[in-house]
Amino acid sequence: MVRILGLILLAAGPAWLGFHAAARLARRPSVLRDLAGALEEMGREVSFRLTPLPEIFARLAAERDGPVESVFAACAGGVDGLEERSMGEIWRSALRQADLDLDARSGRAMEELGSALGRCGGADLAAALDQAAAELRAAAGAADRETEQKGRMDRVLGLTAGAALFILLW
Amino acid sequence: MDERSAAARYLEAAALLPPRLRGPAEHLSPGDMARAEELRLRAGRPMTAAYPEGERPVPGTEEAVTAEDLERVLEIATRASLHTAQAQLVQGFFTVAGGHRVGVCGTAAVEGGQVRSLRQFSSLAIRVARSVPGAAASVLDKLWENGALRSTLLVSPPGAGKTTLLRELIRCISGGEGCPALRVGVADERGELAALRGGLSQFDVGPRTDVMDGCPKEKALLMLLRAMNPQVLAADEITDPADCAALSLAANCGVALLCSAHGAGLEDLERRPLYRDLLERKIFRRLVVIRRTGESRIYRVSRLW
Repeated sequence: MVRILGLILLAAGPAWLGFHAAARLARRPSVLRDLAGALEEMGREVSFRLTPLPEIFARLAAERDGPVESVFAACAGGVDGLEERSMGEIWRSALRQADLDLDARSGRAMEELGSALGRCGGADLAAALDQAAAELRAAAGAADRETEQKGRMDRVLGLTAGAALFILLW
Repeated sequence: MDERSAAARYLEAAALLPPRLRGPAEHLSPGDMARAEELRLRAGRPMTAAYPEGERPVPGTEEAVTAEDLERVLEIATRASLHTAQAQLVQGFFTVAGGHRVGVCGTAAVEGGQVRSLRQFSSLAIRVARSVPGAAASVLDKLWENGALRSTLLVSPPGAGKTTLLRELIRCISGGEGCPALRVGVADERGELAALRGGLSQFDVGPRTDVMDGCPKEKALLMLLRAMNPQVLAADEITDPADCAALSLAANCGVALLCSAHGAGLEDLERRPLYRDLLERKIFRRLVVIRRTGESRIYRVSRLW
């Protein structure tokens, strides 16, 4: 009985890994879309209401959750140290700390956005935000396709590996 | 303002600098801090401080100012929100917390004859805002006649102390110091007179003063007139025909005006159509010309009609 329980536990490991990898893949498009939505909201606030960035950061941190919340919360807190670190540095540090799981291209777009934050007039900043949001939306579309293909494969591989381990050790 | 307070105001302005320039700027002697009127940053040149006798380099900042330094100042001054200062920036300056003024030079983007934005900044001048209690004492009683405050125009070249004198007049009139107390409405378009933050004035502008902050002068004057029932209306640096139209309207409503303008004196004003028109309409009855000699200022009050 104990042997069977041990085998089940051993077999569950690879299956869990497969499902975990699939779940992580499935999370990416929603994080990317949430972040894109936040950037679009920033763009609207900058263009139409001339809202100061610290206020936008604080509001977005309160409205969002997960890694997107932590990006904006870190920026809202970081603005108090603007005398020591530029807004670009604060932004890049916030991106690094948050578990955004960005692909190389959208990661680059987000880092580049940091150069525009705090240093551009309204029109230029809104354009930079729109461009970064468009990159993220495109990345979310690609992540959807990847989730569909690779997510199923991860789950099947995990289950197969678990079953194979169970049979081998039986 | 004593030396300690004057130095504290300087330090507030120096806090706008990026760390590599801020450190040396904060290590000037207390006397120099109290006397410094501006910090001047020009790309490719060392930073200087402007004193009444002229500009001197700030010791420890021999390395030339870079474009990055200028951008950092703007970033700090606007709390990373340059877009919120855009409307002021296209006029060449904006005002920050504490009432300090940041003058900006750079490359202008022009569209349809209007400056749309400034970029590639080349120079900044951070002017330290200070109040000078007592500055109005020698002028105030000459602005009254038969128990009524007469509309007054303060005139001087830039940097001679118009805003300081105007603020001090507002404080005295509103507080009834040396004259009957009157309600004063202030059209503080650039936030230099009262420097409101969170609805509170950072300069003492008196107990009976209502401030309209950040609003174009011509609109603010009329809003104050309609909404706050002022006995005196004050506005700094009249430069636009629309301002003059609003002043003309207010003057006909029985309100005394306190305004300032750039100029060397009456002859200078009469040569410029905008002010000639104001003078011909007899909107102002008193003219105060400010002349600067070293660290002291001479106020000459004349009767216009």
